[in-house]
Amino acid sequence: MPVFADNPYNPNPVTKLFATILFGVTVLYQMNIYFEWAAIIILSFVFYKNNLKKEAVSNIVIFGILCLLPNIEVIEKTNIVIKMFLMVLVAYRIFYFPVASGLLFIKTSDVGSIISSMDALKFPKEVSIPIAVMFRFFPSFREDRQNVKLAMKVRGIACRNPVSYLEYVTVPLLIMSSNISDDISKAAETKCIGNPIKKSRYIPVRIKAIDYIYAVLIIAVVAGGLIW
Amino acid sequence: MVDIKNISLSYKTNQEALKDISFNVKRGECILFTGKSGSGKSSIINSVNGLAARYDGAVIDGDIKIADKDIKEMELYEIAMLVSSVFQNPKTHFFNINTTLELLFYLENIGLPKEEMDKRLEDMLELFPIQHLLNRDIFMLSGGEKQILCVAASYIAGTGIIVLDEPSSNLDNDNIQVLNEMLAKVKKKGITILISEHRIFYLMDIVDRIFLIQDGQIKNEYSKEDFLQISQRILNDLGIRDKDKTKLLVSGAREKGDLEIKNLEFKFAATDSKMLLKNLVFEMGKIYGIIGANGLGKSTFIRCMIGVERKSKEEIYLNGKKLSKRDRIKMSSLVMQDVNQQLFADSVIKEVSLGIKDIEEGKVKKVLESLDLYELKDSHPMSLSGGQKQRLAIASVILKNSQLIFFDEPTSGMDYANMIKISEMIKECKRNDKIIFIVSHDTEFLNATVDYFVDMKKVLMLETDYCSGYNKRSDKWLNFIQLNKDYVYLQARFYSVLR
Repeated sequence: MPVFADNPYNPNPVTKLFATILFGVTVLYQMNIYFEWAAIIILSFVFYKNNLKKEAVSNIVIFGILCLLPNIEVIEKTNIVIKMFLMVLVAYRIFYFPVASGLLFIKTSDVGSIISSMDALKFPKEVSIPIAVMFRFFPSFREDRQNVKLAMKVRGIACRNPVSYLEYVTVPLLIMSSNISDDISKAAETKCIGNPIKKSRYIPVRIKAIDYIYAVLIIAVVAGGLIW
Repeated sequence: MVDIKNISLSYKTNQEALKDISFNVKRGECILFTGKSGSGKSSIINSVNGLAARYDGAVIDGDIKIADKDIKEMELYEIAMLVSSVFQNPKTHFFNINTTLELLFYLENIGLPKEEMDKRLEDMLELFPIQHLLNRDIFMLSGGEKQILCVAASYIAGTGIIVLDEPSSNLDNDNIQVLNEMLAKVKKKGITILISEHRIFYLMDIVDRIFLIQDGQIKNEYSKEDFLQISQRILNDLGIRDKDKTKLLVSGAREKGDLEIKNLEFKFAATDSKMLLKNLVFEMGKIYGIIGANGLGKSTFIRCMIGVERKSKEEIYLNGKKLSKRDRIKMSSLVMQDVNQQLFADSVIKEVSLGIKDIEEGKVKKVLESLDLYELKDSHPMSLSGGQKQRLAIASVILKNSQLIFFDEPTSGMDYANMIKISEMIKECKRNDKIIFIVSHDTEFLNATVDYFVDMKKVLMLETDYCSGYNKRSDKWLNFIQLNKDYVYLQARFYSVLR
């Protein structure tokens, strides 16, 4: 009988969340470039083993391109347009590790396992359920946002005036967000999410070998990257 | 099983949605609530599953008892252990992204052991052979597949009652047939079904009693036999759609015209399949219905035609002149299924003028007056009712004066009267220098509105991967439908498609 298969290379959501928070340190302190590449290889490996081949490759390619950025002194000497463009990329470079790790967390975690993991760590329901709803919210929101973009294009609303563009886009997106979150909450409530008993899990969330390996490797590369 | 006594329901706006409703339902019965939009059908369903009081801020007077338990004092999860719900739009009513986990989510929340979950999954798969829907990304399913998954999830929950709120609104005829099949099997298992619907033809062999709801009250209660005696005209006047399956009476598109699609190619990123269309022609001054099963690519076709799909390749000519994507965006207008996604300005009058240069004030006034919107010209578009929003979107289309006008499912979930209103409005947009395209599953609406239809299943090039993929999917449905020998005619239809 076909069932949802557990993947031995998919770490526990808590481990992935821990890695993302740890990578957050790299926003404040830049890592050594060799350790940065080690982190990229680890992330790409986990992406690849979780059947996210496109993400595995783009992780390496994008980081490779970001590594080619000139340093701040060089950027300062360029003209204003190039400077602005390059500074956006520099900002992306600074936030790259937490973003890539967060992407891995989002793409490889299901709602049930997030709730289970948080239950195991004794997170209150008031924290775990909103985080789970948030996970489900973004894919729906992305779909609707694309429709809004399409409607704007057909209506001839261009982003020449960023202020009015933002005004136009904000109202439908806010209405949609409210509808989506209402619908998701209704779906969850009519499926007994609020039941106070101890929930069972079809795929039990447990600590696997990959959790130890992933956590140790991430601690090693972040610590190593900051020390050296 | 369900005992409702003298319930009245009002929302925060103080408007009374239900007035003194009383009925009871026996175990295993199938009850249909039908009537015009806004008559209170959904409020009855939402009173039974507890969402009206707990989510929509409704105040309910009277007694609602389910399996002898008064649900007014119960928590939502306690009600959910007695009643499963299927909603109108399956798009957002999922909590998980993986289909199998969604099916198991309820069972996990009631703390069922894994062995019991396996047993329930096996039992469900025996009843509904939907193995091909397991372990998939819900966002990759068609609207029909999502709704089928919703019904399966409500069955696997094991509750004695299933309530459904207009479940066929976004489904094509083949998927409606599958829904009929599933509900018939659920009923045979002794599960009580409460369903609110406009499109009732697919329920006529399942339903036991029909309640006609009008202005928040039960106007009449019919047995199936009595209901079948009522003439279609009377039912239409009451806002109810045809009780027999409507056949498409429009003819296929002719092979001459001013707008020619010589070639249209689009590769679907998610499936690696390809949509390929060649040598299609459309006449100016005509309305075309675009039909085909859920997930066949009708909306993608519209996006390619408008020119907003970056990855598509098209060769489209108007009177011999090749049109670029930019040309087509300029000459196109679109009314989306969810009009909330296309209203941007902070007043009705600004909304209709948005993106249009040098618009005449007199013309704006005339169009708004003709659509009963002029009085609301300073209102915020988001404060309007659903029907008013749709009329506003149509007003923008009329004022943009585009040559190519597209409507995506404009009547989903609409009662008969509103469907006819939309049909009249679209026909009023018809001019000799315009072509109107309507994507719809609504056969009654297409019969009332369009000049010709284009069946996507027939015009898609058969040698493409996309079509072979679609046929493979049809095979799965065939296996499903074959299980029930009562639907032999459906098999014949599918086989003719495969040939």
